[in-house]
Amino acid sequence: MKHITVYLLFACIPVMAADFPELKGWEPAGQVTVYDADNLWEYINGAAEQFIAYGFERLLSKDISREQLVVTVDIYDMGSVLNAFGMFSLEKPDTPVLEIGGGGVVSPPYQCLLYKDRFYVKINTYEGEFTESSGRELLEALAESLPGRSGIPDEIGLLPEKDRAAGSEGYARESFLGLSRLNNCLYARYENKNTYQIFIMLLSEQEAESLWKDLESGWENRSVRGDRILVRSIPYRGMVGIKPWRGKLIGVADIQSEKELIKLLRSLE
Amino acid sequence: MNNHRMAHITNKLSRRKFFRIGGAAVAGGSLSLIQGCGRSEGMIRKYRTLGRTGFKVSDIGFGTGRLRDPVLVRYAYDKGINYFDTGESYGRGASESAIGEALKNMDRTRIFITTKLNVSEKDTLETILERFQKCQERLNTGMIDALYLHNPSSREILNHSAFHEAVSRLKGDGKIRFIGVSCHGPQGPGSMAEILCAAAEDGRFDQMLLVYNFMNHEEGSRILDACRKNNVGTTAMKTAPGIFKAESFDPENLSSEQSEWLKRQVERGMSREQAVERLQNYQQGQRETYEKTLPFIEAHGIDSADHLRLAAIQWVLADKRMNTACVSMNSFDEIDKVVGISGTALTRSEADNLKQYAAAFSHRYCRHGCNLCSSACIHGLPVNDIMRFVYYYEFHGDQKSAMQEYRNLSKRNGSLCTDCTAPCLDACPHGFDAQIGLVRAHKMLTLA
Repeated sequence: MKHITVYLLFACIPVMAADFPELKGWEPAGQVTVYDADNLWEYINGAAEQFIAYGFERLLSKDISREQLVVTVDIYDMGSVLNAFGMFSLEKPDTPVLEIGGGGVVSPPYQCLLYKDRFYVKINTYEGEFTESSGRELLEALAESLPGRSGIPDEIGLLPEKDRAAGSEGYARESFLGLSRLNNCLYARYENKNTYQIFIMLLSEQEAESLWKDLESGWENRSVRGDRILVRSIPYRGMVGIKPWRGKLIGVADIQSEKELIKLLRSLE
Repeated sequence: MNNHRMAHITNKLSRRKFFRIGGAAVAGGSLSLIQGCGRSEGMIRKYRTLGRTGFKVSDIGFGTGRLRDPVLVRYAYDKGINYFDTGESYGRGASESAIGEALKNMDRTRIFITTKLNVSEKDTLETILERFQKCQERLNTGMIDALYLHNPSSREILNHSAFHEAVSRLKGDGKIRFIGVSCHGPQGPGSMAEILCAAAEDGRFDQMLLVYNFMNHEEGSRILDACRKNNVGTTAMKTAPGIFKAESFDPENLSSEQSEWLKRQVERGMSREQAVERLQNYQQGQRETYEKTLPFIEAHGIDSADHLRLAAIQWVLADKRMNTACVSMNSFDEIDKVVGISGTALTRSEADNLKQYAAAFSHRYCRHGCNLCSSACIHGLPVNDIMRFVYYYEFHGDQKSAMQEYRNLSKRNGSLCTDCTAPCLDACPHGFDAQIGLVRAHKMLTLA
């Protein structure tokens, strides 16, 4: 329900001066259309809900063409690099991510995805088809034209590297694991003898302490030898546990055995 | 809606729309479904017959635009929800896949699944069948209960011959049982009521998905009447209009969210003074709205946004013509809360507050998608569009775009209202004064 607040706050955001980026070699095939949180549904119907939940602020959409190819470029301003990364990680296919902008994916023949800084970009063919190379070329041109910094969000560096499944990283702005109090979670899948998730709640120290106190009333306290640990079960999917970590909260989820869960949590330094 | 936007939307291919709406693959870290969840308190208490389908649907349905996690589907099912509304475009099939994954642990015969296809003029029998097959694969089911036309751009789409040919084949093969139409509002000529009433009268469509809430119900009421008359099933979306608690505003002592917002606007080229002014105006408007809502919130002493949302859903369910409210739910807590109001009614005080709220705003609000006054204007002005531009100007701070859109109307604008005899005066059933509104709009949007 939190997304309602976000939606309304950003409904008033003005259109900024930044125009649609010029792309060398591409011709305009239509005008720029602008959507905001109030009318995004006109463009993408119910799919708008997810964007709004991820802090969507504004969409610039334009058709451009080169030779036989006509594409629609949708540039979603998600307000922050984490939000843009979050949408990208939700929608990208399970294929290697190209190092373009923050990350890019070409899915011939119809779609390319990219995020850079606070922008999440979706490119869809209207006429003609992408190849791997033409898609990549367009993504590179777009990444160069968009303002902001390239590269993945710095916060991903917080996630432990050992056993992390490549490309499994994501960001859940709300209700991670279906739990309404687990918000702003950076997560990834880990694979060794078990498959599980590790997540970090991106909170200030004060927020982390406050949430901890809040969760103490509903979760089970399993503190061991100085390690403060809370655990609970999640319907159908196993256990989740959290502990304070570097001023934030870190957690492990999707483990069946509580003993194993606590062991994993305690191993996170 | 101006010509450009109309053309922009209606000219798009459905395949294209499908791809732009969704990502490239089903995402999410959902792992295997392992543990059971016992049935306990907080179950669905009311089931209603979904029109001529004859299926008894839970009064709370699951709107799955944001759904990515199958365990939420299973949890909802275990709570008694048996109506799941999805679409190929929701996360480009990710929502369908989540339902399909959950189905492995559910009794298929006890639930009703609706999915939707964006169908455009350019779609053929082959493209529709191909896309339907993919929906079916993602949903992991041999039969989808109902297939919807997803937000058709015009009334003409209702007669899309390839769609109906596909439906005929799919019904013959036992792959679907019913068809329906969803509509948010106009994307071209005609309103939501025009399209959905026509669909209800058509005879081929068995159920509808419409916008219906305590702030926006006039059109919906006409649709519900048409559906009842034709025994067509009714499902609601956008059931809870966005009301929220207003933050206090002190430019010298901003909240972290306000500070963050200001910082971003300044980074994008707006002066701090302008950004502060916009935020201040916005907060003032929200405070006024909040103050009008406050008696209702205080009367029940719980989290305001949640409670108001639940009461708004109750308002929808109080209308016996509505079979189910499709509610977006993203956590176990949310499902528990919403299921908790199944079969309950608004208390008198709650209902009164909502009525007061709606009444207070009724005459000031040119309803989105409503074209009821258009025939009364002797100049044929697009009243609803112009007032939308004003809304963009005033509430979105989108002056440049609003003024450009207004300029695109050329001479068909509010300047014609100044000396007009205004036969439109009583045309709005909600009391909105179009002449005053358009004269003001003209001044605002031309800086006259």
